[in-house]
Amino acid sequence: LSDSAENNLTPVATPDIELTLPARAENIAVVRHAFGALSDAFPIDGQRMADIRLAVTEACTNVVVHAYPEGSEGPMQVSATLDDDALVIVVRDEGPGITPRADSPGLGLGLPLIASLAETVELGRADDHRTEVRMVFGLHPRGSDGGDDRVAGGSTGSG
Amino acid sequence: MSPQTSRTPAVPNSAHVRVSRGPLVAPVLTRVVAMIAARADCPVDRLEEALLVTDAFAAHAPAHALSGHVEMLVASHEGAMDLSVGPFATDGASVVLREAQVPGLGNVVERLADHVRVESDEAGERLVATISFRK
Repeated sequence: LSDSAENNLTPVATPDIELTLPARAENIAVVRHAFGALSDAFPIDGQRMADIRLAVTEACTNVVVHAYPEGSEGPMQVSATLDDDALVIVVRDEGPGITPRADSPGLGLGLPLIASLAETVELGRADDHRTEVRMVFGLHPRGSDGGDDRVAGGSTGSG
Repeated sequence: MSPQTSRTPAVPNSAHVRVSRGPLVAPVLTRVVAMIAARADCPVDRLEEALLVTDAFAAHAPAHALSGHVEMLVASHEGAMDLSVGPFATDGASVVLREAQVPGLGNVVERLADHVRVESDEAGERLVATISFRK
């Protein structure tokens, strides 16, 4: 677990899913529900999926509770990139970064919980200086042929 | 978060979704639309119809999407919900709308949405369907 808010993270490939919502408590449920689509489309083990959703919930809760000063609001962005044996989930916000808080309203269990559920967790800054929590989850064998099933158009931008 | 993807929703009950992998388009879009509609106190019959419109978008938008991804902005406002899908090349939104035609039923999107329009900006065209909750 890297815990430096000044850690500059390298960009991930174009995510398979990217969801941007106002950082409000009710939107955590939207993210949680939307990420259930991963197991609709791909054979991800149910227990693993529960771990992933719990970790995403914790990361989003951190954004809602800590990222923006009380009374102000900003975006919460969650992305997922799936490859053959790993799922990379990145939760971003436009807050000042992850720093210790003596007056923190939480118990401080969120990040340790995420760390226990994910293979790796990185905290840091994206290229655009947004605060980022990046989680990597190992997946069970998917049983598909792994063919290219990306949306038509691809990187050529044709059409 | 690249500039072209940072469409931060301005409306509290809203979401911007971008999906790049074909099998995820329908399940992700329908789940997000269902959540936003439910929170907007959308009656269950209109929620079902909003999901049918979303299914039509998910079925036809990927084949015409620019840059290899489908984006949908879902936003609820007073008594209605907007579903905006894109980005498409010129005339792409009209093609997606035309492809929502079902033999014997007519055009699913035009029949179920209260208002359908094409909008365009520097990113391309978008097809926008407004689903009203008060018919």
